[in-house]
Amino acid sequence: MPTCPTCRSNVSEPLRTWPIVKAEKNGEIVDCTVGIYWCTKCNIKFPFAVGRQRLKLIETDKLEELHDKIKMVGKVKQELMKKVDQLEQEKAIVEESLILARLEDKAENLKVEISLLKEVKRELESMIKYLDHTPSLKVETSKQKCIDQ
Amino acid sequence: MMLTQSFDDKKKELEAKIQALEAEKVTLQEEIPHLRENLTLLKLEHQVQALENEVFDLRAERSNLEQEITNYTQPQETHLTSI
Repeated sequence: MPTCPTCRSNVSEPLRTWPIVKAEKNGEIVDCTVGIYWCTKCNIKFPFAVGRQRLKLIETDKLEELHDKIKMVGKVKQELMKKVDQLEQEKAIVEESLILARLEDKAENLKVEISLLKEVKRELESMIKYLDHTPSLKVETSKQKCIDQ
Repeated sequence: MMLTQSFDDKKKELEAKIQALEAEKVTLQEEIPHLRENLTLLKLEHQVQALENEVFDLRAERSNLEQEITNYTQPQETHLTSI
């Protein structure tokens, strides 16, 4: 918003405007619109430039080349996005199979642990059975009865 | 979608299997100490029985020896009394 250089109040409507195209020393072109504004408080007119753009002159061939490059980059971008989608899908599949593999592994480890525990249980039971059925105990108990009598 | 469905099913199936196996493991882990206790008691009972047998045998031996001593000492006494 243009402001009055004396009282700093905003002036919205210009009295008139005209475009200016100016070549800079570095080869750039500055394109802007200059307007003449009138401050009603100070009763002065002042110029103000709006919409300043820095431009460069470029050969048509180079411009077309750049357009082609932009198109090509756009295509590459699309292909890369497709590939990213595809890889994300593959990643999801691999993650799922990894979860399943971990669960299967856990189940397998539990099976091994259980078979070991079962073996221990079987051994203990067979020892108990052996001690329960050893003849010495029965013979000895009959001896004991003799002593008691 | 089909793949995800089958993954979920398989996952649930495996989780159920793991749960069952863990329950079985816990049961076995509880049973084994009881069996060990039973075995220890039985071993002690056997040990007691073996000691009782030894005591029985020793008593029997002592009784035999005492009997033998009595047999040897008895005739002398009769001889003395006869005089």
